[in-house]
Amino acid sequence: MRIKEIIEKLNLTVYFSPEEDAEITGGYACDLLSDVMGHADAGSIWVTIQTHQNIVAVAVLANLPAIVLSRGVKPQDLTIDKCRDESVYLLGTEETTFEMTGRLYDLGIRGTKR
Amino acid sequence: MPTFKIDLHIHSVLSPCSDLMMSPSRILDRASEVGLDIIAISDHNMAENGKALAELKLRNFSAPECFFGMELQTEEEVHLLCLFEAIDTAMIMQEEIYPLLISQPNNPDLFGYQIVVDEFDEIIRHEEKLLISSVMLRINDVFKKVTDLEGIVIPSHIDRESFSIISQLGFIPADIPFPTVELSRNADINSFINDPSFSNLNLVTFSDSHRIEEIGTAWTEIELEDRSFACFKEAISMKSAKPFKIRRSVNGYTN
Repeated sequence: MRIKEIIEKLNLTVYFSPEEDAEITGGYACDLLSDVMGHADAGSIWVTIQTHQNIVAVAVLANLPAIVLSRGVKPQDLTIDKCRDESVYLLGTEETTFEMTGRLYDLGIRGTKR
Repeated sequence: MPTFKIDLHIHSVLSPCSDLMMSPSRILDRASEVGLDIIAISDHNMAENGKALAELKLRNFSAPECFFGMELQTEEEVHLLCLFEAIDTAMIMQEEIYPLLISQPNNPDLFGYQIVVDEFDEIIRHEEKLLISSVMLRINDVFKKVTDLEGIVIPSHIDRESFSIISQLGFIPADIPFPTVELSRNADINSFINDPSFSNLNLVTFSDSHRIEEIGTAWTEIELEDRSFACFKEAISMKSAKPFKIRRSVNGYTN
């Protein structure tokens, strides 16, 4: 599914959006960045409450096109700057991680299979 | 330059997980016995038992040098050793972060007692808030607050799978103010020494003692002009030309 479609359907806040659209092929939800690096499938949309700029580096490393900050947490300025440098979507929602992942699942997005 | 034995990660009775024998006076006595040169009591999110330590040090010139501070848990659940030269500065830090510690009342039956004591091991008060929780400050805010107060930050036990800067943030951010990180005493130190991604960092190991007999089981030896906070701060503020010497005793042998 195209990221623009997800943003629209779930009414996500856009903190940063690169010019190019991106294809989302899966999803991952976790706040331990070491875990995300090791286990998230490329192409996943990633739901987290971590806001440190390291989330952008992890997204780039694991080939995750988009990060969704849940529960209304706001990104740090440096994190938005990094997303601009690295062309990573930085999105937000007031909903909790549980609710957000449920809605993504409803759209047909599936998690990394273990 | 002389070499000093340093252990800046010791929990006192104010940490719920610590043994009730861990009063500042016993900690200082044991540290002297095992030949440490510089110590700090670094309880979870509180510096207050440093007051007794400071009193004890004032009366005993030959005791190990003492630094003051805490092991702070950030919003990201990263543990950072935040240390200062003087107890007064450490207490300013405590007062600033205490309202930001989001926590439940402690249940001593579940977690253990959190006790502030004086230099005679007398109980002054029990801390009500459970201290093993996060302070609602981001890691960068903590770096800033501590450096503004002229203190130092050393990320704790970065090899651990929980509460470490690597477990929570994936890797060590390039912009940390001091290029020095702590490995836990059980870490496979050589794997870090040989890892090129750690080549710009100084590695230290402290005991993370929760019981008296753990004091002296791990320390780091650093060459310094003297035992002052200023000299230590200078040493950990840049990548050292030669690695600091990490010493651990396992089953009675020191390596």
